[in-house]
Amino acid sequence: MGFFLIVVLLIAALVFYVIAIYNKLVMKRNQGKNSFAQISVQLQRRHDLIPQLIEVASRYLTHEQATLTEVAQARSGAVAANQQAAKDPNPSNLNLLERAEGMLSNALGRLMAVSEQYPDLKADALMQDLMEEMTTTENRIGFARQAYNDSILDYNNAREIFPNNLLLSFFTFKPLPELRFDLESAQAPATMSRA
Amino acid sequence: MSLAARRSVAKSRRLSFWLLVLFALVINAVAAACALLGLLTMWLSGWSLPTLKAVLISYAATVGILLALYGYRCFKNVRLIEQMIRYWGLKPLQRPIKLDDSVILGREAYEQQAALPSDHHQLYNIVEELCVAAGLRVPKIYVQTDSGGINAFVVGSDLHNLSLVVTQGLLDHLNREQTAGVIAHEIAHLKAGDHRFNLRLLSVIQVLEGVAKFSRHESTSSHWLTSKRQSGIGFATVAAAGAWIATQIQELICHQREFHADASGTLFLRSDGVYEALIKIMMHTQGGLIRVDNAASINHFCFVPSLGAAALSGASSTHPAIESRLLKLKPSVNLKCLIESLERQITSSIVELDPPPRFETIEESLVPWAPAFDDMAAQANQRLKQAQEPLENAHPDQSPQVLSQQPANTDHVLSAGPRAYGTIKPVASGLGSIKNKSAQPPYVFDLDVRSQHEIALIRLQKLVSEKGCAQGAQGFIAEVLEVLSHLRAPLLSKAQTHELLTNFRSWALSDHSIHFWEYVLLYYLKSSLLDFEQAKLLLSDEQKRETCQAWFEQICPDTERRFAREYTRRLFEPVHDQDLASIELTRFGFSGTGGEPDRWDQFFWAARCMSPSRKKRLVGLCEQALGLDGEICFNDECALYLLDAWLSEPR
Repeated sequence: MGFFLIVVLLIAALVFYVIAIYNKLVMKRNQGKNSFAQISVQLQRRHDLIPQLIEVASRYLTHEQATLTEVAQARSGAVAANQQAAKDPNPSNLNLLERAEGMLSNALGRLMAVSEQYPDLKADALMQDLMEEMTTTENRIGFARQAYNDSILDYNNAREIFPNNLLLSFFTFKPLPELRFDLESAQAPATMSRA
Repeated sequence: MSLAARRSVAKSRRLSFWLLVLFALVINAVAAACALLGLLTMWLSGWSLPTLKAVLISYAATVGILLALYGYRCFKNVRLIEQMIRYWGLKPLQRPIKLDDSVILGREAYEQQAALPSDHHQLYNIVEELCVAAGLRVPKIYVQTDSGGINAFVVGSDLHNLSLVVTQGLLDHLNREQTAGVIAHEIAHLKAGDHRFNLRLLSVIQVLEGVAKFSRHESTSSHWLTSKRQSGIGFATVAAAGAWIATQIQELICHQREFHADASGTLFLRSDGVYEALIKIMMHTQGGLIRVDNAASINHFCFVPSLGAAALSGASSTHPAIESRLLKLKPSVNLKCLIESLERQITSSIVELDPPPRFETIEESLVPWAPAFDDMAAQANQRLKQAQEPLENAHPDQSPQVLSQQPANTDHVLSAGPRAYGTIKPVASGLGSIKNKSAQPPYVFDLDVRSQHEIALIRLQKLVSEKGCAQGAQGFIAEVLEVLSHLRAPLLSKAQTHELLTNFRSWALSDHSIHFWEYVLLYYLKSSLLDFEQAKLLLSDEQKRETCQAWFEQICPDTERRFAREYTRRLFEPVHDQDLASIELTRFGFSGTGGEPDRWDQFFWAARCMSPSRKKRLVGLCEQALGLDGEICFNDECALYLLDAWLSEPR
């Protein structure tokens, strides 16, 4: 009887332990997903700002239609990639998103470089507000990306350590991919902020 | 930077953990001593000898009483701070109208509302950004408009009910990055839970002080028996001693927490915002003054204590000295330290050499804020020179020019350079051996290259402080080039190379001396100090951009321009794609605007080397020069004015 009780208690403890691990993994995975949603929100914010930027810029940059069109095209590509990645954040979609965002950053950098030559545009109050918003959005994307990478590091670690990895044969916990945007070139707006 | 910051975070976290353990031990010791004293009193007044059980029970009871008192104090303190904010009449900032809202409000309504103060808009943005970084909710933001000092603090009981207060001085004097530095420091405090932690430590100490006061009061009242009065004195002594020790430990913990917040703020930002903000506060006459009643009581929660600039250079009970914070953030940049350590090493090895009067020509009065290291540098320089002369006489065939043609040896020394750089011991011992006239040739060679490098570094710093370049004299350029030829690139730390580049740039900008810049360009070409590969790695994008801009601004003839374009291309090549390089070319090659050259860096460099007293004199001079008195803000304009005056002064 005593032996039986001990075995039952041991099994119960084991089950609770497994449940605890499972719950922890689920929580960490959801946190990772939430962090990704944060990036997505900030990218969305950037995409929302660009039409206004183009509108203001087109009033002054009458001879630079090609650059503006390029930005608009890059934006629509990035919007589509963002929607797709938000729906299903698998590595190939993320890769697409990274590339689209990189293109958008490059196009924006070119726009900024061109707009440097138009002092009237730089002096426009609305443009200055837009610049501040762009700066803060770039910063937020950077920070959100840091937070996402930290949380997926946490999740991937929790997934792979012993004994958690034994559970992987029973449940599916896919690894979450890291995210790298080439934001170096997107820093151009920061130099024009009202510092 | 990020590695140093990471290490600093880990170190201060470890230290504050052990200090916390010590703190807990002290509190427990006080509780145990109180329990024992109580039992002793009972025993003296006729009770039986206490058993172990009685000791434990009385200990538990004492701890219980202390905990209850502590809980009460915590509650009171939280309320106190909330009341204080209300008492100051501060109102939380409204969430500023955002561009996103223009869609909802319509263009005109938006433009009307967006005309409201834009500083707060930026402030709100910065706080929101950093809350994204830290994963926290956005706190209520207040602006204390009466205070001219640069400061900020954060208070609150839990993460959902926090208040961030910034002074008007902060909004007026700091740029975006520096403001972000201050806010990141505060957010780092929040993330580490320091706001609660500080409140708790404060409450514990208040409880101990309360117990001490109460016992003292009881022991002096006349209706007690003698034995009880004595035990009252005992209680008072134990509690007061406990409170004193706890205060000391709390001070240490607070200092560690500040270092921790500085470093993790830097990690959040990945830039030097915190460092720059601290320097700006140091330069600001009003320092971190907050003009409210009871400002001292909130010092625990502030970025810097609410003190004037002069008082900030000393450690207070809540914050470490501002210099030590700067030093923790960037241990490698502090030139003064480098030179001091060099001086110490040299003086310890050669004491009997008399300094010749070669560098005595600069008059103090002409150089009002010549960096404090000037004298030391001059002395060190003289001693090294003196040390070298007998050496060269003793070994004429071992002079550096001859030796530099021996590639095997040079490689050996240069490759040993970066590792051995931190310790200047070989130099010192080498100098010692000169004194004994029994030096081994390889050792002498080692000494030569390295000491030449050190001398060149000191001379360069001296040249920077003299700014003889203002005259545009050929002699000066020749001297600089001569000095540069003695520098050994592998011996330069990353920070030193950064400073060298900054100085080159600011010289070229301030003096419009095209010749000089050409020489520097030649230097790049010859790669004797720094080649393009190194430059690309060392320079930030912003610096690269500025350097290119300087090239284009300074070099007028078309042939030169082609060179500049080529250099720009090479500087940007591997980091970005060709397109970006071409953008940079377009920006600098064809726009030609550029605006006012930024000399703030130059001033910054001088300011970093200044002692506090010199800084004070500088501010005084500034006030005189501008005919202002009373509250003058030591801002960029004043600095530029003084720099200009200084540069145009005939030397």
